[in-house]
Amino acid sequence: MAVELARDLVRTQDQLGPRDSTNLVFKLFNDQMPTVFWTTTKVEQDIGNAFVVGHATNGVIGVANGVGSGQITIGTGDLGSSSTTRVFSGATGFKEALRDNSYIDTVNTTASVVTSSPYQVLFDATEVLQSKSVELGNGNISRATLYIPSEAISGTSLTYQLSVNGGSNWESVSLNQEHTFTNTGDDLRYKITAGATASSVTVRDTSTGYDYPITLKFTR
Amino acid sequence: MVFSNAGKNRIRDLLNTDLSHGELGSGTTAANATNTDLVSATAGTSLALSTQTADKQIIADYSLPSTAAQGSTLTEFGIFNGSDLLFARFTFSSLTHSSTDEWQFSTRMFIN
Repeated sequence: MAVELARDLVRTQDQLGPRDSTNLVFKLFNDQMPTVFWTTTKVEQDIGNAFVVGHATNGVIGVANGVGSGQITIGTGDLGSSSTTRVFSGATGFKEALRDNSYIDTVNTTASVVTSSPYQVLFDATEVLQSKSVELGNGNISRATLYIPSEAISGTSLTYQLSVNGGSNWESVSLNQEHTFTNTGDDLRYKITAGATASSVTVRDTSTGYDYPITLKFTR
Repeated sequence: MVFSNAGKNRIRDLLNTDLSHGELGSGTTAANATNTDLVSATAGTSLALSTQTADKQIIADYSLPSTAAQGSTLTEFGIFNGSDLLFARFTFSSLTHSSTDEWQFSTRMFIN
């Protein structure tokens, strides 16, 4: 914070001249308060044959044909399938800080994701970083913008794609430019691919003013 | 003025200590910063959060068991502190909680 005084000189009576009506000016520089960004994922877990205390069906010992069929037995119950049915990102969009793999598709990602300091994704030739759903089930998404600050990227040859239908179709995008989808869907994901000659290209958290190297904003 | 990483992690710790429980409801009014509670909380859904932290990050997990709010149509979710102060709320298109499913809401918050 800097304080700028309009007049800070001492003058004698006959040097005063006309009245100075200038007010004190206070200038505040870069005094942003910390902000909380969030994303919530909702997962449905089928309880299958698991024994659940108090459950009308799965809480009855010794009775076969529980939810999911089969004998319900304490200690050996079998949970059914699990699926992510909704992902909600805030109005500020999805932000990836690389602190964990929550929203990294570890099956399709071949680049190295480092979730301890220095937080970064390390690409060698043709390697890929692909996300899980970063917004899902809340209405079709018509446009999106993938932001990565230039300071967060070391090296070249990365290409960028977005999918609005869960990865069925990928559409090439330019960084920091809004993209209008040609496909239709409500399952937004991003993919970053390194070129054939790439070597040790990184997307990283530099912790010098921003800590979330990848941001994805979208419009329904 | 720049807030240091240590300062942000201190805020994270204070917030993490304060967070208490999550709750679901059937309100449909869009979330607003002036909200102080869910619009229409659903009985039996106020349940403790389980949290974990990383650098400048909190993950708060909420689990709705298959035995709670069976058959309820739900449209809003909020997280609160121990004094029922609403920390965050959002709404979503209606979902009905089946007795055959557990629901898990995992909220990742990043302080920057």
